Amino acid sequence: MKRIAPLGLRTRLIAAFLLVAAISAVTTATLTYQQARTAVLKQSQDTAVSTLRDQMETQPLDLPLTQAQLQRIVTELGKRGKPNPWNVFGEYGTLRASSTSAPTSTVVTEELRRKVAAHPHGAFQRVTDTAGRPYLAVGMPAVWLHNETREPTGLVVYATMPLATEGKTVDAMVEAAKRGAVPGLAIAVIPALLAARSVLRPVRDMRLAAQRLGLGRLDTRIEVRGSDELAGLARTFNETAGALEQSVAELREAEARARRFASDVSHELRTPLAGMLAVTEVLDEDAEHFDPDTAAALRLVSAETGKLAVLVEDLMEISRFDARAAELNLDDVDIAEAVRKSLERRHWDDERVHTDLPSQVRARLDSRRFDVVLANLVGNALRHGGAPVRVSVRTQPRPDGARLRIEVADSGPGIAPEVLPHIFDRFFKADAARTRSAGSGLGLAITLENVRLHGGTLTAANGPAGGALFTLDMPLEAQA
Amino acid sequence: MTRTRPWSTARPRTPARRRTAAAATAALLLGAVVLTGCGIKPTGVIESGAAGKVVVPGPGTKGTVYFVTADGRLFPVPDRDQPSRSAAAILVKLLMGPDEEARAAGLETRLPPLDIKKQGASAGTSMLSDDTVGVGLPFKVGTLSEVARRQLVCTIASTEPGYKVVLLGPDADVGPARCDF
Repeated sequence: MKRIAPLGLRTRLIAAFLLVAAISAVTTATLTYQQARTAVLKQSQDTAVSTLRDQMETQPLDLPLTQAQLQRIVTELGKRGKPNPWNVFGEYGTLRASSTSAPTSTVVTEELRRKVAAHPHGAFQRVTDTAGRPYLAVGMPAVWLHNETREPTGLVVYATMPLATEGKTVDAMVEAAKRGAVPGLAIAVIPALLAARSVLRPVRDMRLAAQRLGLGRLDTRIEVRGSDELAGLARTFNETAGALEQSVAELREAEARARRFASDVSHELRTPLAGMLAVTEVLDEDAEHFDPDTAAALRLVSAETGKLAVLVEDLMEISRFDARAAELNLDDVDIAEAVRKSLERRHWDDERVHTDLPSQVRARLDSRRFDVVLANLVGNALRHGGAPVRVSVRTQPRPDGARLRIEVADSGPGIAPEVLPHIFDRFFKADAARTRSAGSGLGLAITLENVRLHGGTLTAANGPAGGALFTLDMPLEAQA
Repeated sequence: MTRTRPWSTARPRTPARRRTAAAATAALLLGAVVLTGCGIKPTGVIESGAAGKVVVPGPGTKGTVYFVTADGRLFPVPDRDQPSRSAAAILVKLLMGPDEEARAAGLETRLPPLDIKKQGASAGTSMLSDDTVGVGLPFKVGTLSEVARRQLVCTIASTEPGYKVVLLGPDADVGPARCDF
């Protein structure tokens, strides 16, 4: 079975209304029509039968009838047809007479003749002639009172009457029924539209509200009208939205508290750490004066203190991102120059890093943050991947402004597929066994935040040659 | 704007089918009601009231001879000039057969032809009991048709209403029988 195309609620409601209206209108019209038709026909039939009987009873019969007498009777009866003019046919033995030119009628059926002969009662039959016009045929046998019993005299009179007048009346009733039903259906559209509107408006409101809720506007509420099922639904929607808003607010607050805590802790750690760093540097320089065991311990403390200082700096940086306090300090820089300086500063300008830099390309960006990004990406590649690391910088013209595209590829084993989705997560360790690494665990997270601040994207993938491939894509002209 | 899925795809098919069936039933019903028709439809033969009761003029209705038509229906012919008060007189009238006028209307008799001069004397009636009339006939009555017997019984009974009639022939006696219509 082919499925019918889905129809809107409005269409369905209107169709249902119209169907109900049509059924009731047609049923009422039909029943009324049938009653009226039956009444009209019954009236005509009863009048015809009783008129024929009454008129026959005024005619004295001199039995046995002669042709002349039979003719006189039918001529007499044929004059006074009621309710319409009729033709009268008389039959007595083999004698036949009629009030018209034809001696017998084509409308009187053998069935009617048999019935009247077998059982002397008045009878009628509605028939149609060859042209389909309706006729009424009435058969009336004549009886006489003989020795207290009614005996048939043998005379039967038939009257045939066209029902043209009744047909017109009946047709007029059909026409009237049609004229009544069609405006009725048209009027039914109005309550259908009103009902559809009353149902559809809350539904539309609710759809819009759900859309707004989905877009994050959790304060969206629906106006509750009336007290029907739709109003109940709206109330439930409002309660749900309220509960959702409250939960989200609580979550946000908890998250903000946690971030504030991390930020406060890093701030508090910074001052003592600065002192410790100064002390460990001094001790580091004097290490050779101590015995070897103490010197090794001193160097360990110094190294770990340095890492702690980096971690605290990184934590403070990411806290600034979380607090949306990070700002761009935009400069016009030469990209090739900036990359080269960044690598030189970390002594990566040897064979381990290959660069492919365009000349004379100027970009507008925060040079400090760009340095952090590049250092993190290349440092990460050297640490987890392997030399040589290729850094290529290109620009791409786009309708909405030129883009800066930097690819950093290493020659390592690549990133495991299950790790890829989490590579930018904070403190994510690719190898669970290696709990202590050289980095703080925040490097890539800070890199990503910096790129985002510039309005760009950073993606990690595995290159065609097998190594990890980080692709940075950001506008050549960043907006503050 | 997102378009919601129509509910019918989310629900099992049975309710949809049931709905279709209900709609079809409603449509059929509606169609049937409408089709019972416009216009005037033919009918069978419908009886309506009594037959017309006519007056048959004449000195009396006693003494009525019954003849028959080809299809076996009895037609009464009252003896209008000289009402035959006696059963024997009316019997003779019956045995003489229909006159010119009656024959013109297609009336006939199913009784055997009779030579009144030779056989008339052997025809006669007699009371067999309080309510039974015997009719002596000069021909065999055992072989008479049902219509012929009714002719005899009704003609005799018209002079003695309510009497039973026994037909007495040279071969057998038939009856008693009443005349009923």
